Amino acid sequence: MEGVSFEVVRSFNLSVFLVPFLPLLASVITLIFGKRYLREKPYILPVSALLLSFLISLKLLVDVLSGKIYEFDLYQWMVVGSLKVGLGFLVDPLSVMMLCMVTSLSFLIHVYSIGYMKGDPGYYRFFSYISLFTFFMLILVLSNNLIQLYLGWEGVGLCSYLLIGFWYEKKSASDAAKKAFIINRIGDFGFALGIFAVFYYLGTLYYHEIFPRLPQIAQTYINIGSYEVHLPFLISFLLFCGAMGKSAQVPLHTWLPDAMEGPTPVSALIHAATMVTAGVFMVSRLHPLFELSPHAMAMVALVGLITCFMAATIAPTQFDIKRVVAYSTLSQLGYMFMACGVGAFAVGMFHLFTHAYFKALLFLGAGSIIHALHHASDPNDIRIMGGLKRFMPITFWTFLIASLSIAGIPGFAGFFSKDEILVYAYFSQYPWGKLVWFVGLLVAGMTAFYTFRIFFKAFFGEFKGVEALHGHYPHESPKVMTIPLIIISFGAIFSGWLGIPEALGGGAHFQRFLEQVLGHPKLLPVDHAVEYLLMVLSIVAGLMGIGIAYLVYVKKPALEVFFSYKFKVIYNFLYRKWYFDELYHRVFVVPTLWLARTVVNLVLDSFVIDHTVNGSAKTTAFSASLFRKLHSGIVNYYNWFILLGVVIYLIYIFIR
Amino acid sequence: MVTLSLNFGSLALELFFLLSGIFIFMIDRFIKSKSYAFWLSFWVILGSMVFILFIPFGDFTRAFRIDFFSSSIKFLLLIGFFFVLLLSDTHLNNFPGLNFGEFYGLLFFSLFGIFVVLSSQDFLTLFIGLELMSIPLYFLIATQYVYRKESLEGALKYFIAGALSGGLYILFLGIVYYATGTIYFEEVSKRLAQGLLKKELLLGAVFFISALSIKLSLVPFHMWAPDAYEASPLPITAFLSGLIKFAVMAVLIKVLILAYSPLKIEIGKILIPISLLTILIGSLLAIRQDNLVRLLAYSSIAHVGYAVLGLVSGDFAGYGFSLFYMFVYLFTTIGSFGIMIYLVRANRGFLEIPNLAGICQNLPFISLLLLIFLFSLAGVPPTAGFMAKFYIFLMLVKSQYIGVAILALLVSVIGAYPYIRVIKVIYMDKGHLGYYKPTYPIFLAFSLIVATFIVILLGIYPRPMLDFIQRTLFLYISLQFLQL
Repeated sequence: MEGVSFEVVRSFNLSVFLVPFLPLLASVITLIFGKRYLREKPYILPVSALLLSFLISLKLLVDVLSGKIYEFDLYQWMVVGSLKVGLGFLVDPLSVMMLCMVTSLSFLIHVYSIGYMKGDPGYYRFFSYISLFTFFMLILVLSNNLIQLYLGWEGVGLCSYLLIGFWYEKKSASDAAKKAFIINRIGDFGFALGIFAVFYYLGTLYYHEIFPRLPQIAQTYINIGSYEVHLPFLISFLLFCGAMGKSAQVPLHTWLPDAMEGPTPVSALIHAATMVTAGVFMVSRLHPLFELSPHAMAMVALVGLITCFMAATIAPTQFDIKRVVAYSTLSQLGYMFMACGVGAFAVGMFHLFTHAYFKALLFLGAGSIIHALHHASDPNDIRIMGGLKRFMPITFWTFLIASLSIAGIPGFAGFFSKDEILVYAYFSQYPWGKLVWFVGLLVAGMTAFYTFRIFFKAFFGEFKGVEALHGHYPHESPKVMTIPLIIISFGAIFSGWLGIPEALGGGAHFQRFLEQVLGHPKLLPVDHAVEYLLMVLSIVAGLMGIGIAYLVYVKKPALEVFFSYKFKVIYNFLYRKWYFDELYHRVFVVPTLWLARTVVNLVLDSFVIDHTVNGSAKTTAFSASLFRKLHSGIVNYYNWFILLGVVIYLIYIFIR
Repeated sequence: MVTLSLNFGSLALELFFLLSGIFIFMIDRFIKSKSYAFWLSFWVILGSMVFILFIPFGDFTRAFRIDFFSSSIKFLLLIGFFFVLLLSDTHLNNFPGLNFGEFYGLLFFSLFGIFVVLSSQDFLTLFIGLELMSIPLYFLIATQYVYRKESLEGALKYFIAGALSGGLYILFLGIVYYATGTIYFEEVSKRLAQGLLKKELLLGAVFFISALSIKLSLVPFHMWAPDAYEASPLPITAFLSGLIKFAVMAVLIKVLILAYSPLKIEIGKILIPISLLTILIGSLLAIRQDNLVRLLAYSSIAHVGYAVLGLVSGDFAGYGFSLFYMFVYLFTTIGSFGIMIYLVRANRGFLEIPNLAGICQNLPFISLLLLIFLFSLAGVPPTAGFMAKFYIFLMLVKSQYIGVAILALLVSVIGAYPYIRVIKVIYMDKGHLGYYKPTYPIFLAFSLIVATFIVILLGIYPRPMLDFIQRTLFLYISLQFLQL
């Protein structure tokens, strides 16, 4: 911990323990007894557990604000030399912030799901999985060592897999689940190697022991082949592989849009607000390691930048409302990594915080629309929407708030955090700061454009889904869904007010609070005049995006068709998502399948199985028949063997 | 000169068991009720579990001593015995033609023998204890001969092996007495510590280990085991492979520390090939088995092999890990035999593995429990079997027996195969056998739940149990240091 002194509580604390374990308990009970006893109301336990967890998190927040930090080991599973594996908790400003965010959103999304999932045959299963997810996410956030972080990391991955494939009878859903799982394996392979490397070179896995030992490796280079590799860069790279998988950054991003096959509350909680931000959290948690290597920082910034830009270009071409929002999530995650890449970790976390609320709100709003249109064959298609403003006023207003927030309109949460990222990037000491700022600004405009594209297409104009709905008209969602929407929309406005920058007369309390853990970014001298100019620019970019969207989708709908025909090549390139899926299919999937089907079958069948396996089977059969002869039940053999044993031992002793 | 103390208080529990056994035999003729013997044993054992906590430490002559080690191991064995009783009740109810009273009376005599073994302070008392422990078992194995004639054969085989074991033991006893003129553990240890008679006593140790190897069914002294296990009633198989082996392992460790401490490295070296061969042959034979009981019999051979691996380094911590291994194995055995008793109630054919195909569809709960116990036997985390193996391997690596550790690890891969195969059959194959779904008798359900709980708990949180077992050895170890 830098600078500020905290009182560190090292004894067991029940409330810290309860925060993750209440959801676990609720999940297990619901899973076991849900089918038989809780068929009608399986949500009671998870929802109340989450509410309690949230209240306890608030209490912990107050404790941390008053200068306390909890750090203790719950128990140790195994101790081998310096390798300690166990459960431990660390509650400091960073984790308590995540704690409050995760529990509050998870609670509200649980409530929302009561309405959204009603009538589904897997009602109880859904609640069990989603609170199990919350447990793993809290374990991830609260951990005080890398192994437990990894446990939580894999746990949320598992729950994500289960929930993407929740409607497993749909082939696309189970395919998407598998895709998410396999792509995450690639990232996690690197992540595990990174953890091994940390242990190998630093001899510990506990954060509080890792950080003081980092100077030991600051100047270490190791040889890989004929290259000299800077050790901190290598470790950061390996760990960042995990972050790329979990936070869906290029080139491991393709699973996230497909993950939208899962129920919408899952998309809101897991694939927007919490799990996908785990990568950002991990990078921030280990920021001293990343900061040792400028190359690692450049890598983080660059990957974030590419993802951010790429996703922003794909989003406007998609017609599935959830996929558009998913691409915007990719893009916003890129923003957070950009912030980390210029050393502004606290600001990155600030954006993570505000993003969680407005993105969850966008998703839940989309879910509300989908719920209203669920009679249609494809309720996600924005082409059958339109004019929903009349039918669903609450969804309309909350969706508007979320859209304004993500577009960076002053006064809304997204504005403050996005603007902070741009300012810190511009004034960053890192040479790529200006590039990050420029792309960030560009993407800000694009974000506003595609967000309002779906907004206008869904809520304005005439309702186009009469046929698809077989004459039904959509209606507002039940209260149990709209009330969480309303509550989260407060978050989408006011969560940004916690960190109003100094230039606007605020105190940037949020960033100061986190900088106690995450350190101050290295900045060039800040010129306030320039800062105002940057702000105005980003506001202008946002407004222009909205303006163009209004022009294209409300005023002159013909323009949309015109553009997509005029620039057909580019349009197709973007519509096919930069051909990433096709590329991976050609490069990885097809050769792997070929290898599996032809080579392995051929070689293994003819050589390995026929000779080795059947050979060993023959050997076993032979020895078994030998043994059977010996185990024929004739006691004389038994006694012979006993005497033989004794004699062999005697000989052994005498010739020794 | 040591004064003889005749402290009957320390002998109370043993006398209690003896009297209970005799009492059952005396009144068995006159009581028509089938269940009285079970309830009598039930309460006697429950009482003893409380009673043993209050038995004062002390001597009954120089030959018999109650101390922390013996009382702790006895306590653990009593818990195991209690579950064997519960399983016996469930099992015997399937065979109403048998004489139940005898069964429990003989169990008491055998338990009496086990307790004498654990408390003995000289080699002669130990011998008497071993025989007391074994003789009732020859009868118990043959309990079911009315229903299955071949069970007589198994009993006879065990008897012959036991007789050979006794013969070898007497040889050992003769050598020790001839060489040292004493039969007390401490005296032998003193002679050895002075550097005397190493060669003679090592020769004796070979016979001693061979004799106990027969009880522990180590290769090549193992051949009686599958026959005897298959012949006996299921609870007796659990008793044979869980409790008896635990007790013999405990007393082997006691003798190694108290009497043979200066030779423990050499003895460890003798044990290396035995244990590796035991694991290998036990696992290999288990692969070919289609009968669940025979599979577990061979697996019991292999598991004692792992436990013996803890003794090869001669490290005291390793001894603790061996005991821990046997304790874990005891409960895994109770669990898996409990499941078999249930399966037999459903359909006698379920003891053949191919018939288990697809039972997860109709008996999901019992399949899950079987999965847990099989995972524990195979050593898959987070079950106790993993932890037990892990600590044994850890010990080997720490004491520089890396080659042995690698060999054992390789063999343990083979050893996992038979269990995984059963799991595959249960969960992936299509079922074909008819059965009816029996109810869970309360005692069976209780035993299964407790065994599952222990197996999972020790897999997640083994520390307190390990520390406790290590602590039971502290006194003996410190005695050694005092002597040196």
